[in-house]
Amino acid sequence: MIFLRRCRYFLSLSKSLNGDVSFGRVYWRVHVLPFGQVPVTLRPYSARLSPNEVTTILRANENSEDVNIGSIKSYDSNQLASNSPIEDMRAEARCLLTTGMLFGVYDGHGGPACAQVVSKRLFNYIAASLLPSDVLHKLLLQQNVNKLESQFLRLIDTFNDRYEMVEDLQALYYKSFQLYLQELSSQGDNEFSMHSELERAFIRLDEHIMKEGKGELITSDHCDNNENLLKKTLSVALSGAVAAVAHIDCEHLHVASCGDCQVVLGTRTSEADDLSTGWSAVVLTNEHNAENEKEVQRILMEHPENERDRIILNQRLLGQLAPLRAFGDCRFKWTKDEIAEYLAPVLGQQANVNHSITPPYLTSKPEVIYHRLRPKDRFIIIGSDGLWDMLSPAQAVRLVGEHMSGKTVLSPYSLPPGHEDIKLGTIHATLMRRMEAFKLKPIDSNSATHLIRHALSGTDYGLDHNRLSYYLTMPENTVRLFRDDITVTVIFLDTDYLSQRPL
Amino acid sequence: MFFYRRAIVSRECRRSVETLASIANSTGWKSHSTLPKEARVVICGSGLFGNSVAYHLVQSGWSDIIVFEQESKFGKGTSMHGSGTLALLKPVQEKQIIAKSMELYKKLQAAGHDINYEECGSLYLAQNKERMVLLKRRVAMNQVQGLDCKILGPQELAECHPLLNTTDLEGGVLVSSDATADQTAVCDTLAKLAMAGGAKYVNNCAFVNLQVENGRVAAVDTTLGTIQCEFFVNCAGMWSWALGQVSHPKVRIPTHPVEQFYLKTQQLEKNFPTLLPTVRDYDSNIYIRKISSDNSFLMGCFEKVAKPIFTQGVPKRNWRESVQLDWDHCAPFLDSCLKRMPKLRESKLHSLVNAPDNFTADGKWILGEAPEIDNYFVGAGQNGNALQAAGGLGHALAHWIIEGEPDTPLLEFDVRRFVDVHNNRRFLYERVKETVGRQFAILHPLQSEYKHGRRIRCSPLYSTLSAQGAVFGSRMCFERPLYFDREYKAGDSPPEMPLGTYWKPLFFENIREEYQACREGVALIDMSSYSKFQLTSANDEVLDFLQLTCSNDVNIPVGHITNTGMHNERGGYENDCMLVRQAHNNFFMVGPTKQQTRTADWMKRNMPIDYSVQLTDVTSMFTVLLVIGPKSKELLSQLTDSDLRLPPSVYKTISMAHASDVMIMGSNSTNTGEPSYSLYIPSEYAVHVYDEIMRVGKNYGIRNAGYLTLRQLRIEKFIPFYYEEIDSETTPLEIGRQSRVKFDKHYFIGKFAMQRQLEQGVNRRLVQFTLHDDHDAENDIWPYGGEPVFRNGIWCGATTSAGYAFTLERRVALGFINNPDKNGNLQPVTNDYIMNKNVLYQIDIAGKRFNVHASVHQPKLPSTGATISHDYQPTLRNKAILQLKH
Repeated sequence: MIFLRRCRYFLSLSKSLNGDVSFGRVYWRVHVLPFGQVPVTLRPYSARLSPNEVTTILRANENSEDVNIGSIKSYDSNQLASNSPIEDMRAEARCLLTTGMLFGVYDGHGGPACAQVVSKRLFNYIAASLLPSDVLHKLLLQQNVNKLESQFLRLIDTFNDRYEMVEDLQALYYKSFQLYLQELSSQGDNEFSMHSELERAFIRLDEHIMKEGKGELITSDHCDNNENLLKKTLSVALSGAVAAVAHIDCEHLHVASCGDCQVVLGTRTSEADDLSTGWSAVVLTNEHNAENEKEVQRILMEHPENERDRIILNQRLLGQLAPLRAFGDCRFKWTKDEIAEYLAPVLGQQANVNHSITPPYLTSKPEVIYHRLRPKDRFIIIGSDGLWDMLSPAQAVRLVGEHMSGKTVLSPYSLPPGHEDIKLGTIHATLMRRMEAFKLKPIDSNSATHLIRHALSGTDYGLDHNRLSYYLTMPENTVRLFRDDITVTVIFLDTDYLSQRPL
Repeated sequence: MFFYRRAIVSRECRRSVETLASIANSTGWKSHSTLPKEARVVICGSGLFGNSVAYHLVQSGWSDIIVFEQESKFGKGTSMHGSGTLALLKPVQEKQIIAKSMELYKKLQAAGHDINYEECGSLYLAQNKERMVLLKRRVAMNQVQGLDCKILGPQELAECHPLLNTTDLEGGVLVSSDATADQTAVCDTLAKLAMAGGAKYVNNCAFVNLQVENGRVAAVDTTLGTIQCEFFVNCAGMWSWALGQVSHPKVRIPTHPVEQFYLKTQQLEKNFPTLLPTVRDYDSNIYIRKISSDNSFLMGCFEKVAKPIFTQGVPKRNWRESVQLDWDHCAPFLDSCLKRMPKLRESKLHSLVNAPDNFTADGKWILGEAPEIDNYFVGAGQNGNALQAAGGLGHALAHWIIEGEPDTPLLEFDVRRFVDVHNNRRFLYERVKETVGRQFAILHPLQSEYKHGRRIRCSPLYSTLSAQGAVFGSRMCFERPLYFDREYKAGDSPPEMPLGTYWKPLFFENIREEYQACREGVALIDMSSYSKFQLTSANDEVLDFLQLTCSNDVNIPVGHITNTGMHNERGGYENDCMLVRQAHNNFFMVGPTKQQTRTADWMKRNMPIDYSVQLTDVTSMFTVLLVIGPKSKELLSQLTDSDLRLPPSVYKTISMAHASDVMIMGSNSTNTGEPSYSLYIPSEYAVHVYDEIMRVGKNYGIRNAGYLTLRQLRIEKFIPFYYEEIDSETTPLEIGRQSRVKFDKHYFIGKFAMQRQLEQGVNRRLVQFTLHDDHDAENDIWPYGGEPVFRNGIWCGATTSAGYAFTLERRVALGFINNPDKNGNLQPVTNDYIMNKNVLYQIDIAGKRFNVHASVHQPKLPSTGATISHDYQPTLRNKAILQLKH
């Protein structure tokens, strides 16, 4: 049973599984190696990668930028793939027409397509939502005059963007985006609400993805090969992605999240100069999964009573999907007729979702949380659930805090289970090893890499190279059992700047 | 682990509940759930301390006492935990309190109370020479007072304890009368006896507010209602600081809880003797005791950097749940314990306990009547061992409540030794990290400054002096330059005091140069920390008040200065100060730094109740510069047009450089005996005046000097200081200041006691001891005060402070001697007794006796023959033209 893939879908489009659906996420957690313990079956393992090789792998995707805009000093980000290709995406950008910055982490499922598209498009939708209608008018006019059709309006300036959209999709998405701009500009200037604008951007992008998947926005002048294009847009609509986006402008932090990515704020609780202790973690997102009682209630209330006991099955939406909000995943959004029309020809029997009676069951509407940044707020961690499976928010904040202090801190030591007859000498030996570890400096200068390294190989007495090497050399078909894709962005805040802001 | 810890707590709870139940059965133990309307004494907190106070009050015949407790059971704060150890090899004042506690516990045990008092003895270990000196110094002082203590080598130590690893030890001391007792049982027994004597205990009753009328305790509001009372006693342990904050005015109780860890082993397989001495390995910050009943061991630590807890306030209920174990923090201490007793590696863990306790701003107990509110008594700050202190302090506090003053001098523990800074929560958070480790550290006299909570109260010249290499020490949180580092170069990071030593201090040569400047040239010392007050009244009330409280005649002409003591009825000094009469109804008073709060409180208590005399603390208004040395007059003359020929008893207000309103006083005001001027400068002019003096002073070779130099000067000149020689039990006649007592005056406080001494003679006298050449300053341990003195081999007193007399090139010390007869009764000490030429005086410095010369007279120092110097002296080409006239 441990060979069940840990994925958000139990039915993958590419490789359908014969597994029993009853093995939900809860069982997955069993496979995370707890600190200091390695399942007996995995022993013995030897170091197959040298420390240098491990470091090279861990650092392959790392990126740091000294931003120094407003309250943001810098950020570190990194990704470690488990799926091939990686299904997580990340994006960081500066809004060009407004003063804020955007940071996003996207965790795809059922293939990387949806996450890739959302990561490319969502910031544009958000940036546009922030603009007053007269600015939008002007922009639209300019666009019409210049006829720069193949290019997006330059609303944002992205950092470290390593991918480009294929041309045919680019044109299509540009058209959809223009529709959105027209909608926004025709709205007139109502009272601005960041909450509803963020919601609108999320929802509208998802609507466009759905429509594009049906081929609704595709016209013949776009492309020579519409069928080919439709295949792409359908794969985007079929796959899914959860997203967490932080918008930071001076002391104003908005977090919009749909799904189970998490945003955590690292806050100082002590005045002391020693940054290795005195931290607390403030979680700024609610995970939208079956463990979130409120979220479950929300979904149940949206559907007739007779469906109630079938909507959440085995901790999953309709027994299949772990996150309860997401982009894409058209099978949970389309009606039976729509599925029959657009999906069945491609997927056949697999297109249908059991128990889907009154769709949509899934929404991309984000939960938006506002937080006013204070001088004691020092950094923000955005992570996909691959990180949070391995580290608690408190541990992650501790790790980044110690990273800032340049020292190594380990999780507090606790006695091993069944310690009734433990000898002082045994405790002493472990504590001494830990004391040695405390003296070490962090290996990585990038705090996101530091987090990933500790997530994979932190033990009671420091980093365990064997363990890390083991994790990184697992065969492709089993690695997903032990770790998910991990994406981390750590945004460092400017304390001096924040302390000068009005309260 | 979290659950495990709770399990232990609940196990202990259960046990003490059982104990309580058995007491209840046997003696009709009864707690009240309703609160009486009034009581004479209300004690907040039923921990060890509260119970001890109640017990001692009951013993003295007071029974109208209420003890209330916020929890549902008694003694459930920090009193529940503790090592249960009692150690006597301590500094004298502490030892007296602990001895009192032990006396009480012994008595309880003898009376049949099951408190498990066992005289198992203790071993005090030394890993290095300095520690060995500390132990030897303590042995020297304690042995003469009858404590049975033996200095042992590593081999002998090993024989005392079968588990001890002694390979790295320098030596140690065995004190056989040290003991252990069951802390919880003592707590319960004291409560039981207090109840039996009439004290009422009320639980589930929390403090809400204190009602104050006319500056005096009137009533206590609690969650169960209000009790009118005469006395309120704050024994609230970890909650005492917060309790002090609630009343109006707020009461300062500078304490902060700190996490304290101890570890218990399970029963060991191999059997050891029932009683094994407790081991105190000070240099590793650990102690290890055997629990006799079950053949297991308990180890704990007073770590160098401790972990404060509950800075935001102690939870009123379930505080234990927010206390967590921290194994990593305990790693060094476990490591040290296992090094000291390697065989314990094989023992099994029973539990690690985190039992926070309340530590104070200076690591000493806090006791006495609060200066803020009359009849508000405080007993707080057990500093990690409540058992050790509770008995003795309870006794002292009960005596203080009943008699209005303690029966022994408790200056070190007086609640009036603080200023507001000490009570600042952030300051305490920083400071208590250090006071824990200081319980076990070697605190070299004058060489053990705090690291945390510094640079808080500073003179305006702080930065200027710091930039010239000043090494500061803090007193009352005020930064005072101690000496100036010769090696310091501008731009270096601030110099630090080198490690302390009992031999010649490493910074000593710095002081020599400063001393020479004071004696032969001119030097400048920032003395701003001294406490300063303004006393005024509409008419002559202030004079009457001062005439009543001062032993000297203070009816001096306006513009004059006098030095005087203020005394208690026993004639002891409550204050030693200088008074300046600025107008017929206005006096300016300067007193010791440490007396800032205590003096003000004492004076307020003795003032007319009609508020006709006003007292204002003006300490921070003035920056005080002492310009000292034979060239000081000439130097200052260059900066002012005023005539600086000041008779010793006169002051002037002059302009100095561009600054006005500078009060200037002559030599009389300094207590150094050197020609000098004190300048009381309004603080805004301080930098200007300092810069001007230094600029002009360059030509006179002026240099900065610090307090340690001043100290050498005054010890050499045989001038006693408050807190060192002088305290509330010392009278002017005992320190040779008879001339400052005017017996022909009308009644003043303490007059009768002094008159009695005048007639009958004094039983102790302050003496100056000069060491002979057999003391080698380079290789012998130096005296620092606190050494026993022997007269013809018989113990007759102790030194109080010591210094180096540069002019005499000898070590000198001040100290008291008495005259015990064969039965140990004290006889009057006369000059003949002291100066008898056929008598041999010796002082014991860490076990080695040195011959000394004793004198009651100020030494005659050779004049430095200061020549009159000029800014510029032209050198003549042809010397033959002029000849010196004779």
